[in-house]
Amino acid sequence: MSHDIIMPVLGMNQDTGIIAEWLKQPGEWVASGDVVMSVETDKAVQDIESRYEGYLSHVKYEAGAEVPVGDVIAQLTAQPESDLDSASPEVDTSKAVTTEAPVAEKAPVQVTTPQPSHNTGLVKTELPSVGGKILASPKAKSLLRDRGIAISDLTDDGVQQPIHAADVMAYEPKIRQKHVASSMGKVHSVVSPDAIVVTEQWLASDELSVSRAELLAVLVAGALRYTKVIESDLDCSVVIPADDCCLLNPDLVGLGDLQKSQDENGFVSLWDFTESSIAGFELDSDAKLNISVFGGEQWTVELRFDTNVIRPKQAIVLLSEITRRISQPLRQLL
Amino acid sequence: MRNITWSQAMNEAIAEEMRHDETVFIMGEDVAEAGTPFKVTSGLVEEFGTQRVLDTPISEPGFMGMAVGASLTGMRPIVDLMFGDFIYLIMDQLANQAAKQHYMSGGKLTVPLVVRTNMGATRRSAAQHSQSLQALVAHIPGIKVAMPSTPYEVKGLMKTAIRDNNPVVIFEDKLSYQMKGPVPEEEYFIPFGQANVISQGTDITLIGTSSMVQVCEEAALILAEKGISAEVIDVRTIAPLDEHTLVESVKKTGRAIVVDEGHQSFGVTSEIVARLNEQAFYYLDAPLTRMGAMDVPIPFSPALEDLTVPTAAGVADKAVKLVTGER
Repeated sequence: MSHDIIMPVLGMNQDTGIIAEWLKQPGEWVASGDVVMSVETDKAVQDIESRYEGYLSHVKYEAGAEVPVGDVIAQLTAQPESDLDSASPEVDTSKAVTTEAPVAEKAPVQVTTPQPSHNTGLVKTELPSVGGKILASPKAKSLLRDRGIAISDLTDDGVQQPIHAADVMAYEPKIRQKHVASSMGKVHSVVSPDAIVVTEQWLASDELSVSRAELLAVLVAGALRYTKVIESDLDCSVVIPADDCCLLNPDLVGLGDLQKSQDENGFVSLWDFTESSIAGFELDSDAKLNISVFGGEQWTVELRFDTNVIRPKQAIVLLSEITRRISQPLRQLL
Repeated sequence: MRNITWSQAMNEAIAEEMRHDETVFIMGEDVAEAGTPFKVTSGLVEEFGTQRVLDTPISEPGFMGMAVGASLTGMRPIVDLMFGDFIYLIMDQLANQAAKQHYMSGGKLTVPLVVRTNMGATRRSAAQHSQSLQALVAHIPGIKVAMPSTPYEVKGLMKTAIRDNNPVVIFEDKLSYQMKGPVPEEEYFIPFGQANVISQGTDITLIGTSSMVQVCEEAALILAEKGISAEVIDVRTIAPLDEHTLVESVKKTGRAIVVDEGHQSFGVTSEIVARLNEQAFYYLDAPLTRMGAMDVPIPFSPALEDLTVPTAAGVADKAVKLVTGER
């Protein structure tokens, strides 16, 4: 005849109890009403009395062990444990020391390796985005998805962020323009050269030898990037055919560190006809954009563009920005 | 249809229900001969006597406790809480007792009581008599919260509240008592949990509670002059809340401003905005926007007090920014 000693429920929200102290030793006689052990919960330490009598046997947990409520801790047997079957289980010290072991057994932690999503064969309907996150309202994004428009098409077109539903609706007619055969467009602006002249004098006093064409190339590259005709993280090379040179990212390096090469395939070619008698110039060059500057006291800046490269609206935004920079070069240079 | 004041409409609702059911009675401070400070219960004591129109001592916890007991033992009390600010005094009786009995008894007990009280600022009543505490009550499961915006609504919602078998708190704007509006002669009830779409619109949804419904309506007029079409919705009850009507409207307009006179933070507006966000997110074209009272004690100074609560001009300004996609 034996009786189990279990971890008692001492509180309403108690899941486990800690054996604070064994007050009887294995093999010791326990009378009904004797305190066998003390149990600690999150509220208090309480002495646990035995309702039965017998020899304390099969002690499974040592003092300090945290035991789930209801688990058998030990038994009271009619005979001392040593007299019982020699094959009787011994105190499992590993369980007693590792207090969380009983809990861990109940809820084994499974370590799983996350599978790469491309193995699942699912195609994510993520919106294409160039150059980082483009801000758009949830409704605008839904519309873009429905209409199969890339969000970057709108920003390339100069639509300001965050993009709203109305921007997407207004964009619709332009989708068709993309499929129209390429053609050349031309737009020009007029600007005073005064600020450039002053800047050149200042550069000369600083003993920086920068040609006018190079200075203009710096401003043009800055404008290309600012208007997102060229993404901020892509290279922008400006060809100066008259000098047989090409400047790589002139807007990103210092005026004293312009990188010149012989490359003839730039994104844009720049012709400086200022203070010359040339008043017009047209050429089918390899460059996607052609910028020519003419004039003396008043400059004409002409932008010739391939409509497959930039749209007319974008070209106007770009030329406005170049013109602005020519009239206020220090804004960029400083 | 005849036009009567809010006070008359509320008075009719109470009187009709007291005639209809003799277990209905009203108790509170100054409800009998004085007829409440806002003269809402004038004449009731003459018709129903002092046994059913009970003046109480100035002890809100006491008479609220009596009301809970009475409602558990077969009566249908209406508690008149003179100012909404006194809700803090009856919170245990309301939240721990009245709101819980039906649930804790497994549905065996009902608590058919109504607390009629008020809210709203700009009445120069200072910080302790100007609060709008509906969010506090709506937070508690087991209590229904009605927020009428017109004399028609206060009568219809009050009659529904009195017939309801569990606690209802009905908040009336203090400034509305003299408001006149069309109220049918014949008996009617307004069901809880059904919002009222006051005007249809396509550009933005303005959602209001209580007197903020009028603020939204005025804002819609201002917006109409600017060519912006606003849909105005009166939620009528915040618990239960007619999510469906609000969500469908926002799906259509893609934008919303929710206006309630309680303090903006952790309030009714926050809750409605959260639900709209959860259910209409992919239809949104602008951030869902809350407008409530500033998070300050309501000042006594008239100049300051008027700045603390939402106005039609303020709502319209905000709406223009949302509709034009202020970047």
